[in-house]
Formats: sequence, structure tokens, C-alpha cells
Amino acid sequence: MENSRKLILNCEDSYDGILTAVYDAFNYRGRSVYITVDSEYNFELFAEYVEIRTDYDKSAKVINTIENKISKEALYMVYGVAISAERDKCNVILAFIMSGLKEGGSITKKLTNPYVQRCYDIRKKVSNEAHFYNEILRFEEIAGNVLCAKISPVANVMVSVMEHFTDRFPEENFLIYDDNRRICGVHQRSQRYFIRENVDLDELIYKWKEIRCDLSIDKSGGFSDSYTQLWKVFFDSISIKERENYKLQRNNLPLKYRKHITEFL
Amino acid sequence: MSYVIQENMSIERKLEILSDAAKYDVACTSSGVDRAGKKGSIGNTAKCGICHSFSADGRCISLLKILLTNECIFDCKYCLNRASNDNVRATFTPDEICKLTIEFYRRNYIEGLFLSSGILVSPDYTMGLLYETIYLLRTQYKFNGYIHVKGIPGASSELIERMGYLTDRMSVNLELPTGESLKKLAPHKNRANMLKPITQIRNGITDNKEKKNELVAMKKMHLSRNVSVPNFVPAGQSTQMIIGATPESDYQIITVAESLYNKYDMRRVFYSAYVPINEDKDLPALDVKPPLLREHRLYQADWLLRFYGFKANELLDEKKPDFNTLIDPKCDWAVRHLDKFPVEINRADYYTLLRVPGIGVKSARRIVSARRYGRIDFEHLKKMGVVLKRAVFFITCNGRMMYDIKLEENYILNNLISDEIRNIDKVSGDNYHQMSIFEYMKQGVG
Ligand code: SF4
Repeated sequence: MENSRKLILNCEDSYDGILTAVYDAFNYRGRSVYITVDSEYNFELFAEYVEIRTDYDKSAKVINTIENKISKEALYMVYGVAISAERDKCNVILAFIMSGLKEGGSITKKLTNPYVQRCYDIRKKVSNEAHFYNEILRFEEIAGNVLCAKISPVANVMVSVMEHFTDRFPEENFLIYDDNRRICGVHQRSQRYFIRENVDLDELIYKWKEIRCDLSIDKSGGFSDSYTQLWKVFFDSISIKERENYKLQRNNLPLKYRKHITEFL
Repeated sequence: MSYVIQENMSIERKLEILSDAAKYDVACTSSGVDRAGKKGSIGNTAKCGICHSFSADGRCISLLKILLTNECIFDCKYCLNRASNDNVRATFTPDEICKLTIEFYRRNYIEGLFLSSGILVSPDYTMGLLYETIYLLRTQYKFNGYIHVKGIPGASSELIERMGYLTDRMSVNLELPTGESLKKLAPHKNRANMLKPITQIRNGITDNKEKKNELVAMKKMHLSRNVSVPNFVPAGQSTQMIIGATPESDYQIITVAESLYNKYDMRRVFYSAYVPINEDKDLPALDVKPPLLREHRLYQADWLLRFYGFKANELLDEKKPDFNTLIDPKCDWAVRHLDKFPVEINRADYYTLLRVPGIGVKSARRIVSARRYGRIDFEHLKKMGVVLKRAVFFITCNGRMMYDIKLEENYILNNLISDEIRNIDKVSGDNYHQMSIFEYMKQGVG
């Protein structure tokens, strides 16, 4: 009797969290299993809920299985979908992996499969957003030789953005803070970057300065980036008055994305 | 040296003056080049291009676009910086330019530098200053991002060549579509003088490519290792023409563009709607608005030349020398060649499909590959990215048209124009949709 009840695995909204849930889902063969990252939304009264605690061994096993039994391309696909903010992403991933295990590496070419299609669409959206942040992210110098940027992406594009800026600025110290998720990418000169979770940005900056014995600058500012002003001057004078067209500007750079863009602040 | 004179002008004021003076030049980092970052340096480049912002005129900002100086010994009538204008002059030092570039770049404001200049002392002297600046930026400042520099006609070929090894893109502006106009408006310039560096850069790029291919072949045969050929203008060269300052027709303009693409291997030709700055009997009056819509149509036509297999003399000719500004050049061509339509989606070859309004490069490719597996019907076309609103007038699927449409020029024009009005508003910033349908029909068919 019990087996006919819908089973919902509720996991942390992260790559490893979701893959842990995928791992556990295989232990409930024969039941209709769903994975969700937010049980509060759309709580189902008659379903059975199981809380999944993120387990890195389990997610590593799933990663291995995908890479060996399906393909590397399939793994990229799963990653791209996992970091998105789409409501159906967990179940799309589960269905994609199931089909992949049956059909092997060719699964990523099966565009007639609705889950594969959905994977492509989600990944496209995510990579567009990641590229977009490579364009509109702005650093501010918050202390001598420390750059800091804030972003508010819908998908969790931190890894992709950190990769881009690590390649671009190997010799810079920089922080990129995602204020939707309170996670922070940290890059120190000539080193590999890392990502910290549950970050209080002000506190992090304070600690950084403490380590660098650089407390001369108090944490609430006291340091102002003089290039902000120069950039604004350039931004205004480069526009041709006779061609002014705010509609076109808004079309190319919608207002809702301007929250952290220096020249619009 | 003349830049010593403004030693006490603030950097902010210089930036204001020298970016204002550079704003009419068009540059774009797309169709560029991929280059990974390097340890110890700052910067990388992306082939797809990265636009960082959009200014109040809606144009993309991707480069720090500045002049080295707005002083100029020449007197081109259309130019703000001409010698006879009495305006504030400023000159950056090479160091100032490097610092601005690096500091803007590391804040992710820009993709790189676009450096141009007025003519200080002589073309060769100016090119020397540009070279000094870029050399400093690449070596001392270790800048590995995107650089676009103007080639100055009349500078020595040696300087042009050395510059080519430091930059991603170079451009020499043609300025005006014909030699006669140039003579009239830019008395110190002449066409032959401009084509010289353009030709040199083209030859340099071709040689460079050949050398690289040779090297690849040799490496394959294990003949040489650890040798590399330095890049020469890897993002190609571009040029720019001012539109609307002189009486040339669209036909003349796209014919020039076509030969620039074919003969000079130009990566991009840019069109810049003339903005009246100077009062002169040889120029449009100061209150004439820049012909934005015309510029837009020229870019569309340019696209057709580069990717759609159109030739300039198919799009326009002596009898019809200008585009209809109210519809795009491809629709314009199609309604004037109704005898070539309708086209059967399941049979027409790739290039014929490309000529159908509403079908682009991507959708044409999709059609060709999809129909191998079965017949295509109207319902499939939308998913393939075809803009049916335009295409319906020109296609059949399995022998049928979507609606009962008469292939009649005025009727189709009317429909296409009313569909295009919103785009027109966006480009021109005007309110064409307030025109009555009757008014634009008059313009459209005329
Ligand atoms: S050469 Fe002509 S176009 Fe160039 S800055 Fe001098 S006056 Fe202007």
C-alpha cells in the first residue's frame, strides 16, 4: 500500500545536493520518486517527504557513473541544469540520467526526447546568464589592490564567472559576491580560486584586511575608488547626443539588470 | 613636444575631451579573436566579443574609445577636430593612456582599447606616438586584452607593420564613399594615400596566415618544434564611411563596401550616420538629423553581402539607387522580384531559401537538414526560427501557400511595412507608428 504513495526527496539546492538525491532515488526503485529543492513551495499533502542530507561521497559516485556510463558531455549538461533556477530541474536531471543509463552516450544527441530538449533549453539559458555577467559585472577597488564585485544572478553562475575572471586577471586579488545566495568567489594573486558559502561580505572584507594588516581603512568604506568617477565621465561623453535613444538602451540593457552596474548607480 | 603644454589639465578633463572627440568612430570586438590569459599579464580576449555597457544613444560600449590627441594639422570639413575649429585641445601622454586602460580593464568596464588620433606634427610623427603608447601598454603594463588602433595614412610602412604585431585590429577609415567627395571635404587626404596602408595590412595578414599554415604543416611532419609565428592583426582590419554628408547613393556605398570585402579582405565595414557639427556650404545644415534609419539599412545590406550571397548590383542599381528606408533590403529585393516567388520549402536549395524574407542563415540550415527526414509543413517552420509573418508571402509548403495570398507588390509591401514599424521606431528613436498608413505607403512604394 505504502509504495503507491508519491515519494519526494527534498535536498539542498546545490550540485552536490541534487546528485545526492539522485543517488538515493535509485534506492527506491519501483516507486514514483520526485526530487525537489524547496518543499515549502507546492507542498503536497499526501506525498511522503524524505530530507536528504548532502553527502559528497554519494554525489561523487553519481558523477563517476555519469562520466563512465554516459559521457562527459552528459555530465556538463547535468551540471548546467543543476545550477539553474528552474523549478523542474531536479526531475529533469533524474529523468535525463535514467534515460542516459539506458541509452549511453548518444543520449545528448536525442533531441526528440523531451527531457533532453529541456536540458538543452535550460543550459542555454544558464550559459547566457553566465556570459551576461562576464559583461556587466563591475569591480570596485575596496582597498589597495583588492577588487570586489556584487552580482545577483538567477542561476548559480559563480563557477563560470570565477573561471572567466581568473583567466583574465591572474595577478589580481578579487572577490565576487552573489547576494542572492550569499556565496563569495575568492581569488588571490597567482592562486587557484575558491568559493565560500554563507558569507557576510562586510565581515569577510574586514577579515581580509586584518590578515593583510590593512585596518587603516575602516570596513564601512573610507576608501573610495577614484576610477568610478572617471568611468562615469567617459560613459556620458561617449554617447552621441544627436542619437540619444533611451528605448534602444533599455532594450539592450534592461533596467532590472542595472542594480550593480557602476555607471548606472 | 606638444603634450607638455597641457600638463596641468586634469586627467578627468582630458578623458572628457578626448572621448567626446572619439565618439563618432565605430568599433566592435565581435568577429574578433580568442586569446587565453597569461600568467604575469592582465587580460584575455573572446572571439564572440563582450559588450560591457550601452550608452544613452543605445550603442554598445566595449572599448575605451579615445583619441591620443584632438590637435590636428588637417582640416577635414566634417570633423570636430579640424585645424580651423577653435576648441579646447588636449593630448594624453602614453602613460596616461596605459593607466586608464589598465584601471578600466581591471574593473571590467571595458574589453580593451580603441586608440585613434588627430594628426600632430605629421602622420608619421603621430603614428610614432601611437606606437610608443601601444608598445608601453603591451610590454611594461603587460596588457594582454584587446587593442584596436587606427592606421594613419601617410605614416611609414615600417611603423604600420610594427604596430600590426602589437594590435588585434587595425583600421584605416575611408571616411567618404568616393574619391571626389574626399577631395571636396578633406583637402589634405586622398584615396590613394588611404589605400596604401589598407593594402599593406591586407598583405601582412595574408602572409601571416600562410606562415602559420606552413608552421602547422611542418609541426605535423615533426620538422620544427617550439617555433611560433607572432600574430599580425589577428582580428583583421576594418574601415568606416560617413553616411549622408555627401551625395553618394546607397548603391555607390554598398558597391564600395563589396569591393572592400572582396579585394581587401576587410573584416568589417562600418557606416556612421553623419552628425552635423560644423557649418559649411559643402555640408548638410546643422539642423539636419543624422540619417539613422538609412545607416541601419546599410548595415542590413552589408549583412546580406557577407552572409547571404547577395551581390551589390542585385540589391540596387542605377535605376533604383537607394533602399526603401521603411522595409529591410531583403524584403525590398523580394517584392521587386516577385517572379522568383513563391519558393517551395521542401525543394529550394540553400541559397534560394536564404533569399526568402523571414528566413535567416540558421533557419535555412535547419530546413535543409530537417527535410531529409520528412516533409516540412508550416507548423514546423516556426520552431525552426522562421519569421512566418514575413515569409508567408513568399513560400509554399508541399505546393500550398499558408493563406490565400495574391502575389501583388503593393499588398505585400503594405503588410511588411506595418510589421516593420516597431523596429523602425526602435532604431530611429522616432514615432513612425504615428504616421498614417497612407503616409508610409506613399513613401514605401515611391
Ligand atoms: S585628419 Fe581630418 S578627420 Fe582626422 S582628426 Fe584631423 S581633421 Fe579630423
